[in-house]
Amino acid sequence: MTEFDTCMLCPRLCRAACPVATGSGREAAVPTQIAGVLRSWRRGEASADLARQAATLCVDCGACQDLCHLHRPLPELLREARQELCSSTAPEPVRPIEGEADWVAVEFDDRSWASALARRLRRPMARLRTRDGLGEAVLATGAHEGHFRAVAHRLRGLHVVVADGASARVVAHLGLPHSWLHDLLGQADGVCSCVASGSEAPMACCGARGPLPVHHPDDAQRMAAHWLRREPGRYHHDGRCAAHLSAAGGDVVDAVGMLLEAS
Amino acid sequence: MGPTTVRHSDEGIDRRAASRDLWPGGTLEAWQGGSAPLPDRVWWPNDAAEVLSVLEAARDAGIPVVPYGAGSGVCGGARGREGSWVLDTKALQGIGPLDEGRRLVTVEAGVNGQHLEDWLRARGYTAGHSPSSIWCSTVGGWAAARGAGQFSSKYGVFEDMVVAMTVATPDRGVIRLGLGGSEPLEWFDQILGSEGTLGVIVELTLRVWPVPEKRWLRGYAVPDVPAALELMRSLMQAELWPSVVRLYDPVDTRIGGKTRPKKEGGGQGFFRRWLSRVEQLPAVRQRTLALPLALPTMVNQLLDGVATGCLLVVGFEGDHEVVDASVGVARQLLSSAEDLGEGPGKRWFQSRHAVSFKLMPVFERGGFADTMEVAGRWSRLPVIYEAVREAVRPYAVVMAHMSHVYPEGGCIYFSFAGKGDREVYDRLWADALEAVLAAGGTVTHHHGVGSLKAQAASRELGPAIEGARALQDLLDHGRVMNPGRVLVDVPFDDPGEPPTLHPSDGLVRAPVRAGLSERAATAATAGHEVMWPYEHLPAPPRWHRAPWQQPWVEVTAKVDGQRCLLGRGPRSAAGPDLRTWLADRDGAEATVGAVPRGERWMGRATVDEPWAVALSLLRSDLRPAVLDVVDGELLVGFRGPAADAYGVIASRRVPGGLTPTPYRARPLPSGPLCYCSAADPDAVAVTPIGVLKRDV
Repeated sequence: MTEFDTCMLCPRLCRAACPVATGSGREAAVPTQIAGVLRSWRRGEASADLARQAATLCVDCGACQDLCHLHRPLPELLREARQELCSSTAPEPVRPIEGEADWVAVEFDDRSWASALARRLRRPMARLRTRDGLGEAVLATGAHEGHFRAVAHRLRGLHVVVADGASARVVAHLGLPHSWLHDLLGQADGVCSCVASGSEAPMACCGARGPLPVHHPDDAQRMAAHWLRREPGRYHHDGRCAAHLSAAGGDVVDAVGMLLEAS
Repeated sequence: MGPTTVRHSDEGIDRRAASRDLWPGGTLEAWQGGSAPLPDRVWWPNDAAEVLSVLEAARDAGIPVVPYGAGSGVCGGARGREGSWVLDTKALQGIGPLDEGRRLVTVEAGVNGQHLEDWLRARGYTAGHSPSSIWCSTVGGWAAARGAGQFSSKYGVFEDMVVAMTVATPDRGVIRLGLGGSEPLEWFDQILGSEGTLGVIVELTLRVWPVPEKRWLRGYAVPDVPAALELMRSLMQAELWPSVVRLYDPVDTRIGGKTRPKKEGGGQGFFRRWLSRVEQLPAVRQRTLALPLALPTMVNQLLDGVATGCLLVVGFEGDHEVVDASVGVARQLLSSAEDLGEGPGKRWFQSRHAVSFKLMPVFERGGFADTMEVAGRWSRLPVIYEAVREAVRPYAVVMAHMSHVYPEGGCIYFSFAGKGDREVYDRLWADALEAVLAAGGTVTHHHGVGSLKAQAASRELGPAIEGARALQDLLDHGRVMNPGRVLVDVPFDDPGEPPTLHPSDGLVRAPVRAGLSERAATAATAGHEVMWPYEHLPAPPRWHRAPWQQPWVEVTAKVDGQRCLLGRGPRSAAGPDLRTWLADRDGAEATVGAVPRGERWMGRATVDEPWAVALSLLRSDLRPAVLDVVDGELLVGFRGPAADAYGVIASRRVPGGLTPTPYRARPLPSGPLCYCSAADPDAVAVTPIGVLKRDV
C-alpha cells in the first residue's frame, strides 16, 4: 500500500477545484492523476523523473483537499514527495531593515511604497526589501531553518505590512503580527486567491505560486490566461498575482499600484 | 506529424494520463498493476479550426483519434488506444454569451460541468443538469454520451437541454447543427450519443433556467419496490413535473441508512468505531471486505432477509406558487406512504455528489465496484429489476436505486461490489446485460456505451446500425474517429413482434405515418388522450419543442426485412438516436405518450399580444397541456389532479385573468418551423426559447 492509493482510485473529483488542471487543460495535472504517478513511483513502476514532473504540477493551494470528502491530505503528501524529488536552491539572504519604525513594509519587487504608506497612515514606516518573497519557495521543504530564523529575528517586535502572497505566507508561518496592504487601504472588493484560499471562482490560484511557475512555466502562463478570461476584474490584492497576470498580458493593478497611483 | 502549430505533447506523463477513463474495469486493472495502452500523442486544440486540422491530419495518416474531455466515462469510451492520438478538449474553455432573452447559453466543450454551473449561478441561472459526476466531467462529454442529471424529471436529460452544436468532422469540416444550423435534422440526434465516433463536439448552445425560488424535498417509506414504482408512476403521469423522484431499493435503503438522520457531530456506532480503528492496520484494511465479497450469494440472501422497506425521496423546485400547488397534490398521491419528513431529502441533497467517494474503499479492500443504469417502460421495470439482480447475485452484492423517471418509464441504477479478477468482472457484465435485453429493457440510460456496452447496444440497435454507418460514411469515411466504440459488428437479435403495452405504460402505439386523428382515436379506445398531439410524426426537432414534450418513445420497423425495435426505455442513451432514421422505413410504428382522460381545466382570455403572454406563462414554471392562440384568443389548459390549482395560478398571471371554458385538446404544429416575434400574426406555437411560426 502507498499513501497515494485512495487518491489514485478516486474518480478525479477534485479536478473541478484544481486550478492547475483547469487552467492548463492537462489531464496529467489532475491531482488524482498526479497521485497515480506517485503511487507507481513508490511501487518502483515509474521513474523519479516522471514523478518529479507530476509532483510539480501543483501550486500548493490546498483546493483539492478542501473539496475532498475523505479529507485526503494530498497537498501535504505532494510537499513530502517534492522534498524527495526536487533539489531546492538557497533563499536570498535576509536584507537589513531600512529605517526605524514599529511598522515595516515588505517590498517584494522594484517598487518602493513604504514612504507612500507612511504618508497615508501618518505613521513612520520602515522597509524590508526581498526579491524572493522572503524565501517562500523553500518554506515547505523544511530545510533552510537558519534563513527563516533570521527572517523571524529581523522582524520580531515589528508589525509587518505585506502586499504579496509569498511574503505573507512566510510571515504567517513564523507567527509574526502582520497586515495586508489592501486591508489598510480599505480595498475590500479585490480578487486574490492567495488571500482567500479555496476553490472560489474562477480558480483557487492564477498560477503565480508553488512549484508550478518554476518547473512548468508554460502551464503557469496558461493558468494566468485562463484566469483573465474568466475574471476580467482589474484589481488584485496580491502583488505576486498581479505581476504574474501582467506577464500574461493582463491589465491588472495590485494594492501597491493603487497606493502609488493615489499618492 | 500533424499540425505542429497546435499545442500537443508526446511526453509520457501526458500520454499516460490520457490512457484511462473511469471505467472500473480499467481501474481494477490499474490497481492490480496493469496499464492501459498508451496513445502516441495528446493534442489540445484551442478552437474549431485547430480541432479540424488535427482530425484532417489523422484522417490523412489513418491514425485513430480518441476525443477526451475529463475522462469521466465509466464504459471505456475514452480509454487509450495504442498508436492513437488523444484529442483533449480541455483547452476549449469559453463560456458565454448568455442570451437572457431566449434563455440560452453558449459554452465550449471542454468546460468542466461545475464551472459552467458556477458561472450560470453567478448570473441567476442554472443549466438544470446536475449529474453526480458534475465535478469531474465536461459539457462536451455530457452531450457525447447523452448524460442525465439528478433533476432530470423536471429539466430533462442532457440531450433535452442542447439546442445547437458545432462539431468538427474529418470529412465534412466544421458543421453547425440544431438551432441556426443547416445540416439535416437527424444528424443532430445521431451525433448526440456518438461518443466521438462521428466527430468532436466543439461548442454547444444550451437551455438555461432561472435559479429556483423554492426547493421542497421529503422522504417517504414504502413497503417494497413494486409499491414504490406505482407511486412514482402516479407522480410522473400526473404531470406535476417533480425535480427529484429517487427510490432506493430495500438493500440500498438498509446499507445506506438513508432513512435515519445523520448523527449530530458525525458520531458513529460501536461497530463502525471498532472497524475504523482496526482498519488503521494496512494488512487488515485490504481484507475487511474479502469474506463478504467472496460470498456474494450468501450476502445477498442475508441482505434480502434483513432489508425491508424502501426510501422514496421526492422533490419539487422552481416558482414558489407552482411548487406549492404541485406539493399539495403530490402529498395526496403519496398518502399511502409513510411520511419521513424533510430529513432524508435534505440528507440526500447535501451529499448528492458524495456517492462517488464511496467506490474507492471497495477497491482498496480487495474488491471491485461498478454501476449499471438501464431503462424500460413502467410495466417492464419490475421485471428488469428482478432479472438483473438475479444475474448479478452470483458475482457481487447488488443494490439499486431509481433516480430518472418520466411519464413513460424510468431508469434503474444498479450498484454492485464483488471480488475477483477481470474475468469475473467481465462475466458479471455479460450476464447482467443479457438479462436486461431478455427482460425488454435498454442497456444504457445515461452512462453511454463506450466499449463495455458496445456489443449489447449494437445488438439492441440491430439493423438500424445501417443508419449510423451511413452517417459515418459521410462524416468519417476512413473510420478514424474513436473506432471500436459504441457500434460494433454483431449478429442481430430478432426483437420479435412489437411488445404488448400495459395500461400503466402511458403509451399507445400507432403507425408513424398515421395522422393525429388516427393516433387520437387509438388513444381514445384505451380511454386516453395523446399527451403531445403533434400534427404528424416525426415531431419538430428538439429546439422547436419544449423539452418535456417528448413526441415518441419506441419506434419499430423492418430494415432489409429484419425487424428492428428502438427506444426500449425512455431517454435511452444506447448510442446515437436512430429513431428518426428508422421512422422513415415502410410500416414504421411508434409509441407515443398518452394520458387517461381525467381532471382537466381550461381558461381563455383576450389579451394584447397573446403569444407574448403565453411565453411568459411557459417561463413561469407552468407546463400547460394546451397553450395556443385561436382567433386571437389565448387558450391555456391543464391536465391531471393539479389542473385546477395550476389554472388558478395561470389565471393570476394573465392580464385580466382567464375565463374558464370547456377543455379541448389542441394540435401541436409539425413540419418546418422558425422562431419569430411574439407579435407576428403567423405565430403558431411557443417554447421556452420563444414563439414559432411555420417556415414556408
